[in-house]
Amino acid sequence: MGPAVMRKINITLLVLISCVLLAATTLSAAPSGKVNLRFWTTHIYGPELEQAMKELLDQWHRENPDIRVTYENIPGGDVQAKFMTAAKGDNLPDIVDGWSYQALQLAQMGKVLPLDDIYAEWSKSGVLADIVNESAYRKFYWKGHYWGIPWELDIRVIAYRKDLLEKKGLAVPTTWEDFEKAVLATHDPKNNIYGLTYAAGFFNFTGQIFVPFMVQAGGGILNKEGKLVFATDNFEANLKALKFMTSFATVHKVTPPGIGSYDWDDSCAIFLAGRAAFSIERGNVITRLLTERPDLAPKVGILPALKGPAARLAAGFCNPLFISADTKYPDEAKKFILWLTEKGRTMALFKARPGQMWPVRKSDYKDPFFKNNHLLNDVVKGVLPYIVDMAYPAPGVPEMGAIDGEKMFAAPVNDVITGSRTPEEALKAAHKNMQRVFDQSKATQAR
Amino acid sequence: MSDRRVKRTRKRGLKTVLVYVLLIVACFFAVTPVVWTALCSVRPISELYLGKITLPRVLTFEYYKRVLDQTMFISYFLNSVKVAGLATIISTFIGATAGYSLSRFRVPGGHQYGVFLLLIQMFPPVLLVIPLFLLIKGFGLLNTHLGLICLYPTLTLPFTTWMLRGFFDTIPRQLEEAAMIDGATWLQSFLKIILPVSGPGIATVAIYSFLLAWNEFIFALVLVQTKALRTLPLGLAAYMEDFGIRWDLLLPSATMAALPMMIFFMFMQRFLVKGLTAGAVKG
Amino acid sequence: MMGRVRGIGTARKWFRKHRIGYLLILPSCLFVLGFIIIPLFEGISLSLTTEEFGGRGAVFAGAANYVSLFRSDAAFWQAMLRTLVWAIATVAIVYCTGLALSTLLNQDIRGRAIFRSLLLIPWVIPNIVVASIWRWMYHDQFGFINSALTGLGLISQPIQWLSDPTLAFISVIMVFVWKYTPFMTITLLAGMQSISHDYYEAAQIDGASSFQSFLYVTLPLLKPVSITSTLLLSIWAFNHFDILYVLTGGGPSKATTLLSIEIYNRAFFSLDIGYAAAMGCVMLLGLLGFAVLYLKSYAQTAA
Repeated sequence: MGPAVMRKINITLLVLISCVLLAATTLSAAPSGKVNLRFWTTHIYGPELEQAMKELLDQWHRENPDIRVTYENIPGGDVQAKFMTAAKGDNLPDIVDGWSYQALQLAQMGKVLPLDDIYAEWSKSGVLADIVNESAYRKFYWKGHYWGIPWELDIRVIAYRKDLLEKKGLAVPTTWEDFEKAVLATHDPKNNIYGLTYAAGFFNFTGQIFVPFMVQAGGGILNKEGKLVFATDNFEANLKALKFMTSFATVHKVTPPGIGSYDWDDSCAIFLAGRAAFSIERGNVITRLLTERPDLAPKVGILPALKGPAARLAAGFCNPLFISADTKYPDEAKKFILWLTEKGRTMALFKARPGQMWPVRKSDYKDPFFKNNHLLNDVVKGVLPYIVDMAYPAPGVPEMGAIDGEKMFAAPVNDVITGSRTPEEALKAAHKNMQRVFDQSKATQAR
Repeated sequence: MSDRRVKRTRKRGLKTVLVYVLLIVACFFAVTPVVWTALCSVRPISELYLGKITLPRVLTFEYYKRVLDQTMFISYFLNSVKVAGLATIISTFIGATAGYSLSRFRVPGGHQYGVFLLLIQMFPPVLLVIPLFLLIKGFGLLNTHLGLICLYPTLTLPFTTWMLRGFFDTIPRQLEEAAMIDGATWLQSFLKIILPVSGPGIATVAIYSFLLAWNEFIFALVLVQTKALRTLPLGLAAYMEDFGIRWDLLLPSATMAALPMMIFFMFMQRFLVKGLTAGAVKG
Repeated sequence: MMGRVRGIGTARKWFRKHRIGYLLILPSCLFVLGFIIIPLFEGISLSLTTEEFGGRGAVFAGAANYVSLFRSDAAFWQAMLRTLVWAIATVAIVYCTGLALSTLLNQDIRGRAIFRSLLLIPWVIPNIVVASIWRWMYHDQFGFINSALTGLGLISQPIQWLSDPTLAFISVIMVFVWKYTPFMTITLLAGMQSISHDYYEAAQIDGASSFQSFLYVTLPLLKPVSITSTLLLSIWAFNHFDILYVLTGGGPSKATTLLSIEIYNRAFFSLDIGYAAAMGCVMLLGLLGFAVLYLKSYAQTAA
């Protein structure tokens, strides 16, 4: 009798609990009469930035009690799946802080509102002249419209150990030749120090750090008209860049042997451990130095943009804010993004994780915060004036979304480092893949 | 005679030692990454870059405090428990009934239905994401746990059905037939004869269903749109951001996610062998 | 051997039996009909469309996707081959280790409970975390594996677990094996638990050694469970995505780019969902053919 009754009671309990829990899930918050704006961000991660964002939104809600903004930070590397699915389901949030080329990719699908009126206003009020450089917003211009406004920069830098350089009596390198000399001179296997470390795995970051070398050599992926010239017109220049970048691993062997599998973290760890003299990094290395290795930070500097055979340039990618075509409240959404991009507004975000996000306004750099930290100051002085986008010198090209996303210009670096292809073959193979993207979008638009 | 027995016990002792050694080696491989994660979570992050295996010199629970105070770990964890728990109940129930039917009733089309269930799993999930999103949105279940709770059993069905069908197949029919001759209905024979000896099978599909829901990422990613509703994998993924992995947050969270599960399985695992003592089949 | 009950007045009994049989499948059918059947067919039919930019979405394109897939997509067929090797290797290794471990756990020894729960651990870690932890384990300078091997004096140079294309393929297989062996162990253990003791006693009376009874009793009776679990595991291996995407990104030099990664890129970066669906369908057909053949042997055992 006992066990059978117990079993019955158990089953009844189970069913009851299930019902209660199910009921609890279906009861959602009652909708209010206010305007509710959804805001997806791909950059506000971690407790520090989230706290800063919360304070910003609190301020917004005090000033605009009728327009509620709720933000969701899209986690991990699968951002694209979430965006494209929502786009297909007419469920994009009102406001998006997206990846570089998401605005244009979604504009291609007819999912973004043009923001030409903001640009007209900005050009009158002088805001446009205050943007760090023209390429920061030209990249959002496509088919006669602007599809996004710039709101923060993601910068690629080279960090170096001042103490190791001084020990060798070398000046801070500013050209390819000096850079090579300095890397080879500081390589010190006896003390377990590599001359250079960078991520050369099959990840997006690898392609993004190849960009500065390409443009310094006078190459690049596209030409001024936005035509693909990666392994055609620019073949020689890109080859020079690829050979220079990979020679440290394949010829001089002054990098950790495993860089062919590294993503940014893996490479950064080598530098943070004090085991590399030079390291190609994200701006975010500054935060990591300050929080994880405060003892090492004073000994580190950020290299000014290198001068290659053709130009002195660096890579910095401007990320957009844009408004989706699914929104019911375009005016309120515009009001919010204008508020968010006001002068000095997001300084708290830039301060929460120094070097992770950078202002797009020249005037924001007047903040003493940038002067007071030698690493930030190095970037502002030596790198920021030279930054260009990965599509340089082209204006907005939506195909760059697929080309960057599918890691098509990371592939040549990875191929050469792992010895699977010669530099020539690697460039040509990558070009073929990129061509496929252009062919495909041409075909779909012609029909 | 007794000599033979001694030989046999010695052989047995040797066998036991061998079993232990092999199991310990296997456990070493299974738990090392997790134990290492746990060890790294209580030491300063800079010690990650030692390149040597040492025990922590100083223990710090600062990162645990950071995760608990500054992130929504607890609510992610509870969300996952709720979603996975309810999905498991549904999935085990419908899997057991379908498996029983396929095993005992052999209805026309039953086998074909079983094969069709496999088809569900064969199509790449990444391609199902968009149509499923549209469907769930159509049901008004977007951004609810209910959407996930209903979806996950569908994903586990192929395994639960096939597994339990195979399991029920191994239970001799004579048992039920004898009961039926005694006047028991199919329901009684299912509840009183089949279920008690199916403990391990049921426990296995329950564990499987639970862990599928516990680990599932891509559907949760697109279907959940509020931070407060996130499940654990979504919460953990937010520490692997575009700007690199936040080891200070990921290591303690991963440890805290694994530990309760370990304890839970410690209690659960006895069900995995219940059939041995249930008696009905025992000779 | 296990014949159906065929008695007097079968017609009525037969009808009643069927009614209950269908009734029992019904809940499962409801979930399938409600949640998966529409998306599944929508996904499959997408393969006959092409994405048209400018707001019109997917447009019917006939067999165009399949034509270019079969004509000119070398990357697809390379990925297919790689996926095939990957699936065969992972399933074979997972099955063998799973079988060994479940046999060990099925022994009457003290501390089984602890071993069982410890061996389950890899399974409770979400895949994205698995990938991050293992990338760190495999790190050539700081990784646990190289550090341990160096510490023991077994190697002098770090092993390039992930940056050598061939070794990387093996390394990712190991991670998959680590993660999915618990599944196989538990499933087979459940199968072993369901085997009646009568069989073993009969075998013992016939003078069979424990190895012989494993070979002639355990293995044959484990066949239904083995077939189900290996079939499903091969389907999962074929569709596997998340560990690889984070662990290697499909590199180095595409050495670990499986079909699922190609499909993901095509669908979500190139926004060529129709083409991606065509890839998925070719894969589906292959898998279906394999599954039907595989299940034939199941039907034979069950008969």
